[in-house]
Amino acid sequence: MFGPRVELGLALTLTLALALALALTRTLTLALALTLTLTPTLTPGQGVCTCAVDAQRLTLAQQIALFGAAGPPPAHAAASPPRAAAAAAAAAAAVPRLRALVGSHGANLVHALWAGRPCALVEVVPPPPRPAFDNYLSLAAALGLDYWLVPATLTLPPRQPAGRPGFPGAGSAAHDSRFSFAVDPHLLVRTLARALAMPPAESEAEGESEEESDDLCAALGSDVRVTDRIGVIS
Amino acid sequence: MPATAASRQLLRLLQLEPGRIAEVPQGGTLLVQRLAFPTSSPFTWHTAPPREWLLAMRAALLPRRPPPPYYYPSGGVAALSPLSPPLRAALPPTLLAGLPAGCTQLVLFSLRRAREASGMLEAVDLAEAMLARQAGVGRCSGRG
Repeated sequence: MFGPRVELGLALTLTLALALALALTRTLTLALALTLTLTPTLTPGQGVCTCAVDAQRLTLAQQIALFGAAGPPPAHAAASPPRAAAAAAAAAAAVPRLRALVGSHGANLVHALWAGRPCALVEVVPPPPRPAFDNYLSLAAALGLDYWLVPATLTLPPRQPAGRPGFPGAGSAAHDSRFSFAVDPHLLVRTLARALAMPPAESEAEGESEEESDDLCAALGSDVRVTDRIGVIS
Repeated sequence: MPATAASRQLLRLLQLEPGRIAEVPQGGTLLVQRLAFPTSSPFTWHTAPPREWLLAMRAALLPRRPPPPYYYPSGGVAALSPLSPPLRAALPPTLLAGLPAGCTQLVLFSLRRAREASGMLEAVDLAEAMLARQAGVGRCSGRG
């Protein structure tokens, strides 16, 4: 029906089309892979899990294991036989990545030291009398972690004057176990949603401007800077 | 990873032996006591973050953590005793006991049951429930 030239032309066209399709597919695959690699955005809720822990009873090594899940593989893996090292590496790969560490102002937030980036440090801060606790903000800044501040409210007055003379932080509710404070769970959730790059709930889609955050900082008497890595949600 | 001179200096300051950190209790409190307050330390992170020292300590201690599998608590706030010997013995010998299947990213609420105000514990409990309802975020405690 067709002459040899036409058949050759058709074959060439088909070959070119196939090559073009393959190249496009490869490009798309590469682009998709790059997109997946370069944009660690979080699908809302997918694969995220919350866990409440009390690390005070753990040894330093156990705390590092718990909070440093996203760090490099342990040295034990390299020192083990190949099969054991491969098993350890596979087990380490299955460890979920720590995306946020939430806690009230105190030594428990030092565990952020072991977290890998990206990770958010969410500090629940009691109100004055002694505001402007910036040590965990400093810790987060030094480690390159995102820092979020959630203000709390005092619920019980102290039975006696707080603090000890000469003790750093004297007069602060955060360092005095006689104080008790409460946290607004809605505020905590909004902060976490922002820290994890989740879209806010529909009823909470409005507000949360930088001006409001600045106002909150001013109200707290704190010099917390609001940048893309440090945030306060009112 | 070999410890750098800075990390060795820091560990000496902290009176920590990297090979014996499994025996050091309450690391967070210990580090704050020895690092954070200018009365007992040559520097403080209240004013100037000791970035180099912090990173050196991290580099020296992070590889010393125990190898996986890691166990996470399965009782939530009501039974906070992660990794304690009785709980570890009670957990099945599977990786990441207590975590839902498919969990790849973790949000840890670091609580201090002995000191934490009840308002904080309730807020965390409610926040976990709200996250589960609004965003499908799983909970390792099985309370949701």
